[in-house]
Amino acid sequence: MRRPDGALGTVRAGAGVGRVRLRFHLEGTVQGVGFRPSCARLASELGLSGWVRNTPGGVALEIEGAEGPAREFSRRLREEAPPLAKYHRFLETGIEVVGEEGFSIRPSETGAQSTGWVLPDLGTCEFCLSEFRDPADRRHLYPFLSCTGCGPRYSILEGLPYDRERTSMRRFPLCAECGGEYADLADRRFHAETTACPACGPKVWFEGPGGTVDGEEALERAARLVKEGSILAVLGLGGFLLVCDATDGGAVRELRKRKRREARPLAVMFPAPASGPLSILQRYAEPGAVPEARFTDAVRPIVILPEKPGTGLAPEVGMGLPWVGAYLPTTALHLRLLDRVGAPVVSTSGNASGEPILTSPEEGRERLGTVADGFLLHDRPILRGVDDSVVRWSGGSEMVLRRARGLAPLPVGAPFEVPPVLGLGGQMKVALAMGLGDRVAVGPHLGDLESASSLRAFRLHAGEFPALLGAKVAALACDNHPGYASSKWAQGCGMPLYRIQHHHAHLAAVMGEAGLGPSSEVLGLSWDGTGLGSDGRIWGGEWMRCGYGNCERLGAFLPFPLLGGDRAAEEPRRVALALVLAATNEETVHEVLGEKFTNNEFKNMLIMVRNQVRECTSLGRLFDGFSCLILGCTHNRFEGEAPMRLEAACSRSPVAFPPATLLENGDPHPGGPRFWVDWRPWVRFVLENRGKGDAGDLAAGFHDALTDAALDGMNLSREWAGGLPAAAGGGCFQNARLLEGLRERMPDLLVARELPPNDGGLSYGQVLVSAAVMRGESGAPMAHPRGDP
Amino acid sequence: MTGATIRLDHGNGGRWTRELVEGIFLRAQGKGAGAALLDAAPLRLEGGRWAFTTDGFVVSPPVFPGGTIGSLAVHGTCNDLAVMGARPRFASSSFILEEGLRTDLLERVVQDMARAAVEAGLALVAGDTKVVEKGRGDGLYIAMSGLGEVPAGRDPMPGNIGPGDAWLVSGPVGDHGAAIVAARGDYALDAPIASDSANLSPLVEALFERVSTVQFLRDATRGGLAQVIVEASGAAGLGAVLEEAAIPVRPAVEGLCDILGFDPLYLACEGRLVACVPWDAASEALDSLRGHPLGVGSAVIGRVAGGREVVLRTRVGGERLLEELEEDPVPRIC
Repeated sequence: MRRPDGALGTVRAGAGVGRVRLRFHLEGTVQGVGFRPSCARLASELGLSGWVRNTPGGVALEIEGAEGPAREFSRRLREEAPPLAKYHRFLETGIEVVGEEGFSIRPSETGAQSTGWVLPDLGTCEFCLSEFRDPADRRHLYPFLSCTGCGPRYSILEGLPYDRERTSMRRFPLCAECGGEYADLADRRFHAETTACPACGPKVWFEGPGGTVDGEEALERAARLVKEGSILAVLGLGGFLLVCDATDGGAVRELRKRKRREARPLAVMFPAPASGPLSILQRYAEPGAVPEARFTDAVRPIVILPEKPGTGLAPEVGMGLPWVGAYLPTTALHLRLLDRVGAPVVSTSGNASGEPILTSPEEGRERLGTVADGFLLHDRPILRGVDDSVVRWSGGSEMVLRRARGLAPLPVGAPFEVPPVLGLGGQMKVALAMGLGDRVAVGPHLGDLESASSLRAFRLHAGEFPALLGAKVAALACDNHPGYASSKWAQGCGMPLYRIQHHHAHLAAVMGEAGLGPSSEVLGLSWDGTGLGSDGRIWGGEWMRCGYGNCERLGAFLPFPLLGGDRAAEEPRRVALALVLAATNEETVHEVLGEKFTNNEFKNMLIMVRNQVRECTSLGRLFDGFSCLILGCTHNRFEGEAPMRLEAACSRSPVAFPPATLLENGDPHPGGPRFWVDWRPWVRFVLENRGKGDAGDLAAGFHDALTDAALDGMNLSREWAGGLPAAAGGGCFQNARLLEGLRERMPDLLVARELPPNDGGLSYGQVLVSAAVMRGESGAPMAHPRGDP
Repeated sequence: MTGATIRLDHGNGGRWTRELVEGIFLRAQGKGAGAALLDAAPLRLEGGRWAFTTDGFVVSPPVFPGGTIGSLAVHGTCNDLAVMGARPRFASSSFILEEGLRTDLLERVVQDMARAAVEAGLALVAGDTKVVEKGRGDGLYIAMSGLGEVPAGRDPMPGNIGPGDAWLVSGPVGDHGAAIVAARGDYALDAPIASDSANLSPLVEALFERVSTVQFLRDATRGGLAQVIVEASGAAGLGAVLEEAAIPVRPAVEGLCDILGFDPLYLACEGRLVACVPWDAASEALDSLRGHPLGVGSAVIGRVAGGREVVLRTRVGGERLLEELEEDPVPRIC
């Protein structure tokens, strides 16, 4: 943050001795958080005159009055900003006094270059919730109440600056009472752009068996539907959720069948009684180290928690995994529904599996008609869909698995000045990232670009995201894999394009989040499912030395055949076969895995190995293979199932695996590593010890073996990478057991913080790497905006 | 005598070459050793429009279930002509032989080619043979050019394609690609897979006989059915919606694709006609295709749409965008 220069305005003759006028220019999350009203209140309290207004870049503010109160204003502005406000830049200058009377909120200034602080949608705040529950309040039970501190933002925004007339709320003119609050300096809804009440705001209604009803009856009918074991589609903050009773196995099975979501665990939303919001959630799940506030704050993410066994959630919810994705109602609408249902509900985004979340009643009726038995709808237009965010905790700190509602598109700091590059991510878990000088705005999770509709959604977002932020794209950054849908889209744009190696982008993202300066380097583990290497081969278990603009592959897991390409990722048994064959012989393979294939399948697998199909070094696939050998997981019914089951199986008494062998790569091809980490001793060890004790001991032992291998590889790497800081990026670090093991041994290990370690963080890394490459091309030195850290 | 294997001398232009040509090529066409060896074939072409095409054949292995590189060359050439609405008439072939090639294999290929040509009514009027050193070629390659006559009123071009038109395919897709892969890799199959290699000209004639408004025709070769429709849609500036459930694929082909991770929609065919006709002519077109032995497995698989996306509606109700073939799963397929 810049230090204000603190200079005071000159004293003008006749204006009174000691009278000063200060001008503030503020950037950061200062719009949509009740910032202007709080300035007005503070000025009024201190007897100062002046004005405040939103600008496309932030907030402009001038105050005038006696020197003491003016200084006091400046101090409190910095120290007592509204809870959600965060300054990125705080400039204060003294200017000439003008003798102004009174304080006003001036109309927003438009047209100039916006600097892109778009707020995410915010869960209903405690003040609004208490009104909601107060029978005497005029917003009692009104599901769309909001204020300067909560309500929709990103999903209803048409452009900056943030004013009601540039949101989809403009179609709801304020009634006299709301208008009064909006204009009243003393009211907490003073300039609350999304404010609404039953008289003037959006309405809720129910469509389903028995026709269409609105108001309280709508909620009653919706709740009844859920209690009866049927499936309800709820149009919420950022799109549709599909909801059913989480304690009713039949209902959950039916939801899975209709949504075609076979086995992926489902999130659960719990009722939040006013007396103790977490009281019901805690009956079913173990919040452990997660602070209570995380469940009730403006973000309200889905938190992956250990499920308490035998508590009554249907087994079909978690499908045998010991966790539950738990959260509390995100808005008053959900709260009201859950109050009436009185039981935890499965809550999953309203779409067909693998497609983007649906956002309008029309779309919902068309696409969810065969999934839902009834619809709880509203008429507040959602301009862009936003999924729920998902987090989990590992070793006392939060890790973001999916960054969406409540978090995106908030910017992440850039460690050096970045040009307006749009990072496009990869193929899976795509999120956009827009370079904005000293920060990068990272958009919400858009999902996997596999279906036609997610691709369309991607194109729309990629087109509008920079414009929404007021940025003009100078270049694009995409993955080096030419077959990714995002890369293909980039190719057709006719703009300067930087293709960034997948695993380099993962590590650059970690470096950037850690604030490492432009010339820094790390010794990193880039461990994930799959990514195209700079040598055209498939990587995914790499030891790398890299900076923002450079990257060298030092080590990798010993390559193994990927039998059937992408099909191998769906069938851990194929990986297991390749691993066992590499570690032993055909006879053993047959003995160990023969029964997991038909005769012809088995023969064909061996033929594929002989035909030298493509190889990979992916740890994600190694996890698949070991999960098959240790637990018998033959197929992934959803992405990452086998690795998740292996993590879940870990006991507290790991057996010690033999160390991985480090092999010198005697004949490195260009892009080939200096050493291989040979996992074959682990395969032989697992084969010898299977069935002798608890499979959980082997599962835990495998995780520990990986930690040891990580360290062994890093120690060897030190020969070429000296004392560089250690970093870890890539989807494998969603595995809390693996991450905790590594952090125990390397307390200073740099990992993802605000961004997901998985491909959701790629775009941010792509922006940083392309920025570094662009600097290198232009020959200009990379400057650190805030001095070198 | 030609000997058991090809020698470099077979390409020297002298006695060895003459003996090879007489002993294998001319004999296959039923021509005696005395047939005049001219440098070019004089042709008398009359009026009308003619279509001219050329193609190289490098398939490995040269003999596969359902055909050889010889019949494939004839079928490929005929099909390139037929989908332009032309009736195949004349062709030339040029053989590149690798030193050491077994002559009985060559003989089989050449016999197969001659037979296929006779069946197609295609006159092989010119030919050439060259030999390259061992290691400089993979057995044998064939280059073939063909000339066909286009009857009046036929003009199947992508520009004719209009929104709402129907897309048809004349049988199960991916057979050729799967047969080659299976033969090459020696994979174990649940049921035998043979190449669909065939001359589509009679099928095209049957179609034109009953449907005068054929908008566009293409034989699905490399890149398979998907590549044909993506390319044609792109050229027409339109999109398409295809129904996965309507696209015929043999279970054995599906099974092999599942093992290898291939998509049958992108797997090569050598005897499948892809046709676009106006929607109201679709059932007439389907009947005429199904009425011919080469088209019994024909199906209407989708429709032309506005926009520029080729969308596949999957069996489970999802939508997938079909795009140009990115990475050829099976090189050297034809």
